Amino acid sequence: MALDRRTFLKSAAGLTFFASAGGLTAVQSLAATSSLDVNLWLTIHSDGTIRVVHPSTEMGQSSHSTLPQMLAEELDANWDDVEIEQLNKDDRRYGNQLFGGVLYTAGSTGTQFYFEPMRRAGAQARDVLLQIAAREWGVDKSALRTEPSLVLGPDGQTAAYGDLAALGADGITVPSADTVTLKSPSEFRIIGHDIPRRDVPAKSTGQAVYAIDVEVPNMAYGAVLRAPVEGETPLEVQDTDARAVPGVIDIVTLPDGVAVVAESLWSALGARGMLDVTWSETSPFRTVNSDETLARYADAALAPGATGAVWVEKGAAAETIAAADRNVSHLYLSDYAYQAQIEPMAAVADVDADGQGAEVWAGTQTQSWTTHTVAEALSIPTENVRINMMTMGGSFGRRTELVQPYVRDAVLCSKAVGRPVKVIWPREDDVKFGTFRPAAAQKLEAGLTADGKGTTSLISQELVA
Amino acid sequence: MTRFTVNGNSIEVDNDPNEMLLLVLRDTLKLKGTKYGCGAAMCGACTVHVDGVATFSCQMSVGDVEGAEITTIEGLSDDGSHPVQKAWIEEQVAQCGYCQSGQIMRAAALLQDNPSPSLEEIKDEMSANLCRCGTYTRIFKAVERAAQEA
Repeated sequence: MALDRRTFLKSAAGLTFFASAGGLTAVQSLAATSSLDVNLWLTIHSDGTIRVVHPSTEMGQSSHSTLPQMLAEELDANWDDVEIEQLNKDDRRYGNQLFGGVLYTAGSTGTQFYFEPMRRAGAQARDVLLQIAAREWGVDKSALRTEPSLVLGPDGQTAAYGDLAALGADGITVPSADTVTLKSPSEFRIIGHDIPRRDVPAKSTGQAVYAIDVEVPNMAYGAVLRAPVEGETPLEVQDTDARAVPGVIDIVTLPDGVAVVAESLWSALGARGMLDVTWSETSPFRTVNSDETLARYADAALAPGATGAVWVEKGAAAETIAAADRNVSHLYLSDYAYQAQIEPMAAVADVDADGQGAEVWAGTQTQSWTTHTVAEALSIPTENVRINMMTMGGSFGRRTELVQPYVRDAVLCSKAVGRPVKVIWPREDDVKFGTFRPAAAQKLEAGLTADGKGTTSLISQELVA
Repeated sequence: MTRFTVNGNSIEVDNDPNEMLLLVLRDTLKLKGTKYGCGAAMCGACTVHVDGVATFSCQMSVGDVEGAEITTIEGLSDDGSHPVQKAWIEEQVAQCGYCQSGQIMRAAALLQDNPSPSLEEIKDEMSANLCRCGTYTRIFKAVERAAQEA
């Protein structure tokens, strides 16, 4: 059955709201093209618990608490009734439109993008609860108001959200997300208020589970000897000594490394040190020099008439600067930088026996690209990939790659040995082989008034990365 | 065979005596609250108490702790009721949270030795543990709060 984005369904356990991110044309068109697979933002259970989806991923920025609070605010829910459900799918109906609809958590865009649609989803649900109460009490909806998780009637009636959910929504229409009334900020009970984060107690008692902590039955550990230079491949592997280390299960040749899979990380790391690998010596990166790269970027930024793809444009910067009393220009250089997230890269993969699917536990900034990584590694459809997005020990941009090698390593190792495998990149590996923040040269130009004060709309910036 | 005590329980393990204590705690004893950050005594995420002293468990071999008493974050309390943990929650210290087990263990050891540290003493002692999110000001406030409320 094709579900319209405004379709509202009754379920035995309570009310399920099928509401897409409203108010944004791009999201609407996405939803319209894939309405068979409409996803839910929230479910109100008859016991009063309210499950709200967290569409981003948590790396310390608190979106796990903050984004569901936006919805809870407009639902006028008691925050304590809300259970947070991590989105563990590459479901683009939840995509971040500030990243082209990809599920991608970076650059503070989660709060910017989801603020509106999650509030509207909450407001729609509140309106439906009001309609149910109006129907039950035989009063006009406009005579009703809400207190947290309660609808109040004109004659002193009260009904809990869960009880109303249990009554069902026959004959009720979900209002348009585009036109549903939102609270004014003066009515906010949650947004802007000091609400404790949900994840702090577990992070204060050692109970929070990060990807590196995940354990599944029959799990083995993998450590990877990586190519000494990016782009090289293993040509010959002498692994007799490594295989003799107690606990070693197998040696797995990867496209750009050689993995030891063992019963413990200690065994895997020890055996890794005994591998003797002959590597190719043809990578173009052998001659790359970061100083030269940065100098080339600087030359490009400073070249007369240099242009590039426009990221954002406001006002007539070039003309205004040209007409200014005085010009200032400066070149800024930023080197490659290690993100230094404190949790080392780690992932657990459990590839199905037939190789046609996999479950993966990882902490990344993008459900979309983690799913892509697994699907590509196994040459399987993305719908056969089951991901578990774990809270992360920091990211700082480290976990955004389109292809995530630490996830791929775990997948390929699991496939090779037929067991779940946890791959950990020791800190030294991450410093040596991680994808650094790119080097960049940025030329800033500004026009100043005669009194030396910068005027608005006078700055243009050219970035070469 | 190595015998020691973890969180009050007598433990015997037959791991390689050279194996990093951190890995034995995490992978053999399943005490995942202690974190692996750098393995090089640089970050402090792996801090536990060995005979009451805040110690980097990545710098100890399990064979080194024969007969020792070890306390991990799980042994501080199982419900967050230790004064340092209560203060950590009250001050909402954690962001990503990955370093916080180690921070809490170092703070608990500090207060055991010095129940009323000055801010300078707190900063000095806590400087052994890094927080990439930069929660230091809340860490200092939480240690002060724990000292006052303990």
